[in-house]
Amino acid sequence: MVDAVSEAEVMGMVDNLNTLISSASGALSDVWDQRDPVPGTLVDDLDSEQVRDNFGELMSEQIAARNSVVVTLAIQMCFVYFIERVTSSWGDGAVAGALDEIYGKISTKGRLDTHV
Amino acid sequence: MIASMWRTLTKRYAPHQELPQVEEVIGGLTQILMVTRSFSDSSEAKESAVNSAETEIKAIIEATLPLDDTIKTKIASSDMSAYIVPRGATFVEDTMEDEFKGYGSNEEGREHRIVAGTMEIGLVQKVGGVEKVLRKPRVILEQDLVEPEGESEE
Repeated sequence: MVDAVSEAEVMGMVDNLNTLISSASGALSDVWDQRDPVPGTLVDDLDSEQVRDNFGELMSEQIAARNSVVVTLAIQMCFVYFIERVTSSWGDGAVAGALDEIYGKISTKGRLDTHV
Repeated sequence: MIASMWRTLTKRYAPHQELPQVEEVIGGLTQILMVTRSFSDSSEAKESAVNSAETEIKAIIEATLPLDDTIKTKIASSDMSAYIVPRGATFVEDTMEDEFKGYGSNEEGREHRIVAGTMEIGLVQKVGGVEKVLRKPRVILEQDLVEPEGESEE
């Protein structure tokens, strides 16, 4: 069987994605890094709980303590988790749902509404 | 005929469809910003996250879809997948990169190294049941999460 793309090309795509993740997390790190903690702000229980679920007890404590390494890691992990979910669900999960939605629009309207 | 039309339509329009996970990404980022108490209002945090990194977020989404398509439809000779180490896994030097290798304050004592998270994705290939890591994922270890006293902001 012949591959349509080479291993090197796939690795290049992965490297490109990692560069983008790093760039995005840099931009987002600036958002919080340039702001002092807002005095008197209470962290919402739901936010706190979901951060703990996503990143574990130790990381969530360090995020709350504004540990810059950990906040940056957490931001990068948001993108990494996104990539993991997309690459593991193509064709049978969220994307299939999205395609069904498009197909539904074709069926019901007789044309494709591109503003989906 | 219908199949080819369907394929053409999905290929043409699917990449422009916002995936449900995008909202999750933004939601996750917003929660992190709120837990750092950088904002008092989550809608302001969300807006700030989107505005500051919209281009990068879109670029990541646009780069993820072709990668997924490539490893699932254009590589026929082997199975490839993105390699992301789950939180809590034991660090394995042969297949992972330690973000802070050489910078740790206690390199010799790092016997039970636990992965706190993956910062950069890797790539793994499986041929005939044998896995080969083509790109090691870059991970951060739990023992590197805690800053020495006096270095955190609070």
